[in-house]
Amino acid sequence: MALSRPGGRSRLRLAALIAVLAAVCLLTSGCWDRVEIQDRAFVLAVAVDVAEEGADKQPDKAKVESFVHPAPPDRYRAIFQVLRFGGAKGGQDRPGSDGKTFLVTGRGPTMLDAVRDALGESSKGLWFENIQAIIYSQAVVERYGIASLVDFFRRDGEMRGRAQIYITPGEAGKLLQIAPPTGEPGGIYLANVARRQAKDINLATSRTDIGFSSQAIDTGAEMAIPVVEAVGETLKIKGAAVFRQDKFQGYIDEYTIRGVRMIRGVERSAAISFECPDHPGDAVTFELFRHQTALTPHVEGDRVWFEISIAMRGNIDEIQCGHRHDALDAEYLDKAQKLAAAEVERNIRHSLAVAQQHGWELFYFRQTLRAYKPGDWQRIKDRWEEIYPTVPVEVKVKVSIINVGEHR
Amino acid sequence: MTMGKRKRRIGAILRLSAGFPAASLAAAAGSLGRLKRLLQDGREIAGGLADVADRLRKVAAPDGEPFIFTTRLAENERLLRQVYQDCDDIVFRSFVTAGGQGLLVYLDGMTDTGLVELHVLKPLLALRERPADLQALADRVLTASSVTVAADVGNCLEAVLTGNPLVLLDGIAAGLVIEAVRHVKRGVEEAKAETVARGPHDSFTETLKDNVVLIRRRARDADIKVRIFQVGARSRTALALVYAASIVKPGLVAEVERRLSKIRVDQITLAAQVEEFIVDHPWSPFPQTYVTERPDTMLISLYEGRVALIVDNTPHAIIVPCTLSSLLQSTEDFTIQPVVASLMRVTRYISAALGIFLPAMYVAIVSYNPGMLPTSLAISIAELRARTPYPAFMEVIIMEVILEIFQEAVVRLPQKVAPAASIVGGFVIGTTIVQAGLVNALLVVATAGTAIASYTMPSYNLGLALRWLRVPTIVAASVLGFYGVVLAYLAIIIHMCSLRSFGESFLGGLFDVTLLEDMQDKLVRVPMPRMGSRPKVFGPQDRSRVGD
Repeated sequence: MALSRPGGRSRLRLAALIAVLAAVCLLTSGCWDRVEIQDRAFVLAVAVDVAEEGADKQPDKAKVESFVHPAPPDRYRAIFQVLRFGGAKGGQDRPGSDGKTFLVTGRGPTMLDAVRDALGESSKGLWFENIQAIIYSQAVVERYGIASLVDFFRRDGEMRGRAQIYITPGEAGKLLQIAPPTGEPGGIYLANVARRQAKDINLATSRTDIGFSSQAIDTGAEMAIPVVEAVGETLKIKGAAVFRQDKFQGYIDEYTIRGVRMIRGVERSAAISFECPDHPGDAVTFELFRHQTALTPHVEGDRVWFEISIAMRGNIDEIQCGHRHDALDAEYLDKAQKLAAAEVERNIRHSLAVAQQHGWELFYFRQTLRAYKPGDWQRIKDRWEEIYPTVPVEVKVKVSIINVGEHR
Repeated sequence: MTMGKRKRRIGAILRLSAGFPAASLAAAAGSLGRLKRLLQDGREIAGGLADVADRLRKVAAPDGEPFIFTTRLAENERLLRQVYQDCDDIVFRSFVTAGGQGLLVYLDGMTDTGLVELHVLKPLLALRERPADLQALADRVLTASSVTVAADVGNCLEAVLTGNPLVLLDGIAAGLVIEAVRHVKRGVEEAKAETVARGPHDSFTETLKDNVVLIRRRARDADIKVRIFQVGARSRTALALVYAASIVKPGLVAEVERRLSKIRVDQITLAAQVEEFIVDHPWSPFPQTYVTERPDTMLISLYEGRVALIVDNTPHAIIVPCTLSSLLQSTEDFTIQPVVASLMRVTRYISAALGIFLPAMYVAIVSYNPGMLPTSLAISIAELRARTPYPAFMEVIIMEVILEIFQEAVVRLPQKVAPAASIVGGFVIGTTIVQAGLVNALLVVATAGTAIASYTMPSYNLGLALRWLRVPTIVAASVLGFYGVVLAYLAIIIHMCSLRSFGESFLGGLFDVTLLEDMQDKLVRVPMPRMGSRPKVFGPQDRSRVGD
């Protein structure tokens, strides 16, 4: 007993020592990934350009600062828009800064290389969990394809699927230098503008964030990614860039986007203007509130055609020739409903024509056919590429006007 | 002593003994020495004899009693005085009755002397013929309402200390105990902690008897049993065990009695001491007894089939078994509209969770998982945090320490100064600590929210449990982030599920599908007419509330 005791006690002491050391280590340092919120550099937006271009490839710069990766070669030049704490108090001390944010630049053969390269300019680790927008230049998507560009943002754990993707025809990095007039940091402005798609049918920003885009990449569906450009001193979203099998195809205009969104049934509110039935040349605007859209595939032997039926309900919101006639007149309303429907149909036909002419499948025709007529799809899927550009589409539009905003 | 004085004394002795020869002087000195020795021995022998007598008496006396009464009053008085030695508040009053000596012994200040004078002393002094025995005296002479003949000394001694006077008569080896307790006590006042806007305002006091009265007055029901026990080997504190005999779960009363009988302590001055002796898990931070100062709450509990304990000198009743959902109920719930009460109950559960986890979530979010925040909130928190120097954990600890100091200060200060302390604490320090950049404003909001959330607990002790649990949870959050918070959450839930209060699960009842019908008075409260059955969880013998 007397002999065994000291041994037991020293074991106890050792255990106590280990416990105390563990407690002290954990309490003083915490887990390995403890980084306080203010010690993280909030990346709000990323712009990606081709590595050869841009301001930092100047011959007078020292070689050590920006080395050329031997193999694989540098692909990307990424500009990160980072939130500056303390608002605009810091002043415009850094070129390209809008006061609320500042930019850091990195380059590398992959996006992660570029991120790590950019850390040389940042005292805090870049942190992507609040990333709002990603802008790719046309040059970089043309050269490397959208799939390889999005890959990092799909794979990395810090990324968020709600980040919006944009394409710009010029240099992407320059857009991040523009301070939006709202006073928001640029990335947040870009994310919030995208949300206006609910009211603005011309915006192509519905279902084009990282999450939806990666879904489209995986299924091989065409994508229409919104385009952002500098307009005056601000940024404007207009038109969309079409990708097919991850390759850049070209741009579509806002009128085409309207039609695409109507066929897809992803419009929520829309302002649809048509000529006044009584006064040609003056516009009447129908504001859409609710719609029901159905795309139905039909196969009869070798003949394949689609039927789009759209029922819209809404109000007349504005009449340019309002003082000259009675909008409550049943005959007038009937004519107006027909004209609005005709305008919707014209728009849809335009978008169909554009898409079929280029062979871009922006309307989920293939997916619908495969889902609703799997047997027929198996039969014709090999010929689909030939069928699609000439597939007939029957368009049925019915517009119901509920209110006209006036009374007798 | 100066030389002169000594010489004078020696001179006087020489003069006094001048007539005796020197030899007889020496003999006298020897005799004196012997006498001294004899006296000393005598004292020792007397002491020894007294010890022997005491022992002999103790041998005759039953266990636990210091002596037995003799037929000699003087001897009895001597023995009583020995027991009450140095108890100057014990009054011995001798009197003469029917030709014999009598003795009245009572505790000054605890005895109703008016009653004793009128109904004991007066009849005794007027007595001419001596009755056959004490029982006859009690039956025919004394006019006091409650008189008991007691032969055992232990009971008599205790009766005197309770405030009941003891009457001894010469020639009788027994005493008469007269019920005449009267002492200073607080009146029935308004409840201090469990106030309700509508409903009775009276609350328990320190006097056990008055507390029992408060219960009896509310229910004219002989089914409500009140059994008085004594706990504390020295203090002999009275304790009432109250239950509704035909409702209470079979075996529960016996179990409570068993646990009470196991209390081994010299004194019980607080009900909380009894609580700690009888609960299943004294080391748990959670209160495992429901404590109330409201007689109405206690009565409601009795009719749910629970058992209540009232400890003398504490104005709170202890109710067992106790579950989390019963701790989160308030009497107020039954005086307001059921829908409002239900909302308040749900709010209490939420605030209980916030009271533990809010600061920990702050630490976890700020230090580890800021990605869980919406961007705009993340940015504003980061902006606030960028101005403070400490890591979130230190910041929270600073704030917690300050909060605990404030709470302690406000509790300890005299009531008149306490508001000043809250102003200094709340307004001055609360605002300036943010301006000084020690902690950020959001954390002050979170900490204040946490404190307020824990104040909403109807049970003060549950609020304390939340306060305590906050600290390990914060540590877990600072070490492992949200993972740590979830671990702490699991640990707390597992602990609460494993807690048993007199056989009932502390938390389990909330998730037990067989107890689904108890939900009528748990998370929500349904209107009274719909609350037809007693809670199943307490296992009442009679489930139906709607009479027989």
